[in-house]
Amino acid sequence: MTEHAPTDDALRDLVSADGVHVVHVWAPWCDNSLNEHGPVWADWRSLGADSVTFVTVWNEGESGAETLRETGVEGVRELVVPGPKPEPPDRRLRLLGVPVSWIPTTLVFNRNGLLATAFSYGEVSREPLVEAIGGARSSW
Amino acid sequence: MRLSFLALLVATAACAQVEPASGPPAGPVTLGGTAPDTTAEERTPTEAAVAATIAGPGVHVVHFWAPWCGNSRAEFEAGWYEVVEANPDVSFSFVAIWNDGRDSADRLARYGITPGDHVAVYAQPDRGPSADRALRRRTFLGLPLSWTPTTWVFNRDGQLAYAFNYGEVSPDMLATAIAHARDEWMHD
Repeated sequence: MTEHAPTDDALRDLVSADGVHVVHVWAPWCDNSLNEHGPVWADWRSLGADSVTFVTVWNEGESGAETLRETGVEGVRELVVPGPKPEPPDRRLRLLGVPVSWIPTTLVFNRNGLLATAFSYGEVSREPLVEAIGGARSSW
Repeated sequence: MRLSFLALLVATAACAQVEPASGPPAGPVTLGGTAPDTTAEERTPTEAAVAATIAGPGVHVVHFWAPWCGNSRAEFEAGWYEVVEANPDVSFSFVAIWNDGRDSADRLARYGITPGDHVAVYAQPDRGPSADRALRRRTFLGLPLSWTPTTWVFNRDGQLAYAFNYGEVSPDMLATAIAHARDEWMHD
């Protein structure tokens, strides 16, 4: 399982801030990822998170910015993990200590950088994600 | 997915005995490079047993709880046993944490959860007395563990599908997560 320290460092800076932070792992060639763009991510500002960061993976190190624009996801922060598109079962990496074995994967952090919820399989829809973000903001 | 986090939003009154998310005292972020994967040599016997269970085909639920934790008890009182009974093909590993190495199986039994064919009960020992939070284990199989109760759902021969690391998971949420973990997704 690969790690990429610069990406981890950048993400750590983001999610360790106060509030609720969403890290979304995707690739432009992944239909499951793209299926989420319209219903979930096009209006990412209204999800209720303090930050949303797209992490583009397994895309030969290329940015997915153009695809994001084309699919209506405008203005979101993007980080790119370098490296080729591996074949399964080698599509595995670790971000902030959390294994990623599927894209799209969506991670919700709270408590200054602790994982609150991970959707690491299938596709996530807007309602449970908004609820997860709201739940992460709750004080237990 | 239609996981309902409604209970998570409205049940804050049940949190009197929650384990504070104190974590290690050093930095605010305890993930990534500071929480490397747990090697086989470093694994406790409980971790080894759970790893062997989730490596098999099917869906596996690993639940971390503590008998002193009001949120943990609230989850069980909400009827988790019904989900356990309704999914005999799913393995359930109940791991008591931060509990001085006791599995507290007797407490689980009060909520209708007893060891059996697809239910296992474990204790994860700390590195010393659990009252000393600095000695509590904060990872399990390399994944961050920062809250009780915590629930993980695995599929695909041991891959993490869903992690609920904060708040409480209602029986409906658990059942939905199990159902979605059964789904077969494919992509290029």
